[in-house]
Amino acid sequence: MQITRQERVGTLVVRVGGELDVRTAGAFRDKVDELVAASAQQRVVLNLSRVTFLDSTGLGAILGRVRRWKERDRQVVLVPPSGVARTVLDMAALGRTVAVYPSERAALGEVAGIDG
Amino acid sequence: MADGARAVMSMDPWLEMALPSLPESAEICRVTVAVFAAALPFTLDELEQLKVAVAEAVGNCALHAYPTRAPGRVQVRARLEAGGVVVEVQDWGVGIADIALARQPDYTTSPDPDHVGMGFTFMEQFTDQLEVESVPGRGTLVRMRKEPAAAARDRR
Repeated sequence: MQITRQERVGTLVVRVGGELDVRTAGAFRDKVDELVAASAQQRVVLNLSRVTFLDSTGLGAILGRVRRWKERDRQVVLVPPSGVARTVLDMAALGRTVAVYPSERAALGEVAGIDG
Repeated sequence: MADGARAVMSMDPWLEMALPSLPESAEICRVTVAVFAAALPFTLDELEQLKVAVAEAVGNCALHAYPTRAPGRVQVRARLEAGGVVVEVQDWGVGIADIALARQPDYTTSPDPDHVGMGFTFMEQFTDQLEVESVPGRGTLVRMRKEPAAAARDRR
């Protein structure tokens, strides 16, 4: 699992790649919570487009992050993975609780659009 | 010779693994079973679905089967049978008291708010057949069958 971040004006982009599953979910949770806590940006784009495998534990960790960050008044936007990992994400009806965009560019455009 | 040939013909390929009930085992098993099942004409997406189902079954063993004496033993068997793959995941852990309840979407015994209780839902969704046998205190056996959609279509 790889996690990188990029600070933009008003937005923190967190990019996750690799396998997000029962083995890696704990490290994912700790790392991205730390990145978000350390960032002053109010909006978070969680880019999962390079996630290659997602199981129910990884899904739970994603849902938990979205919930936690929203509770801390962050605006959360999500870029989903593709293939079966996307199906797994969709089965949680995530679209009801968080905005989902087809690409990071679209997510950033939308986030900027909300503000300006 | 005829007998020998028949014996070989009727011997479906099989796979058996025994592993500790650890999260790493879920990864090892899903990859190994997918490689094994790739002998059948599954699409890449179908193999990914099979991986999720196997990962959930073995992940359940890692998360729930042996709460006080982890890691315990997990056995995974797979066989190619009648154009599909049958995967069995067995543990000798605490068992499940109410299987129907455990299979409900969103049901979880975990106090961790990040646990979504979708494991059985994914096993059900991503395979063609799911059976769960369990005896509290004795263990659990999950049996899943998946067929390539192309093979199922050709038979109709």
